[in-house]
Amino acid sequence: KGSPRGARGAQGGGRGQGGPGVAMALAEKLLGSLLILASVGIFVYYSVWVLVLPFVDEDIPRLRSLFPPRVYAIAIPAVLLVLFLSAVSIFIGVTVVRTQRKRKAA
Amino acid sequence: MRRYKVITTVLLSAVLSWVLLLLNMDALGLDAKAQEVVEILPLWALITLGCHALFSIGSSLATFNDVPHEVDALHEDILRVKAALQSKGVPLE
Repeated sequence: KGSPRGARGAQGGGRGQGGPGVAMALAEKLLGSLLILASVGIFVYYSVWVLVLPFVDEDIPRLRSLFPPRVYAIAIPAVLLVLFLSAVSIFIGVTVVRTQRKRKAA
Repeated sequence: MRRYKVITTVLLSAVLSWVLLLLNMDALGLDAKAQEVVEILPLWALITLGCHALFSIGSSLATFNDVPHEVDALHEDILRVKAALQSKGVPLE
C-alpha cells in the first residue's frame, strides 16, 4: 500500500533545506505524544460517558461523580462544533473579501 | 477508486441500519437506556472520528524521522548547482 519510499525511507515527504534542529525535533515528538494521549483520553472518557454510564444502574456515586449530567455530552460538542464551523466560515469570508478588494485595487 | 467504494458502502449501510434501528426501537423492545444510546450514536461516531484524526496527526508527528545528514548533503548540492549555473551566466539571486 502506498508508493515505494526512497532509499532513506524518511517518513512523509522530504524536507527542504534547513529542517528543524534537534531541539525542535524533541518538541515535535512531545507534541505528538501529547496529541496521542489527548485523543485516547477524550475517546475513552466520552465513550464511557455516553455508552456505558446509562447502563450502570446501581448509583455508584464514585463513578457518577466523574461525569457531568448527560445533557452536557450533547451540549459541549454542539457548542464546540458551532464555534469551529463559525470560525472556519468567518475565515473563508474574510479571505474572499480581502482577495476581491485586492483585485479591485489592482 | 475501490477504496472509496468500500468506504461509501460501509458508511451508507451504517447510516441505514442506524435509521432503521431508530425508527423501530419500541417495536424491538429496547428499554429507555438503550434508546438513549441509539439516539446518541451518530454524535459519538463523529467524536470518535475526530479522536482518530487527532491520533493520526499525533502519531505522525511523534514518529517523523529527521535526516540531518541528508539536509547537509542537499544544501551542498544546492550551493554547487548555484555556482555552476552562475558561472554559465544564469542570473540567480
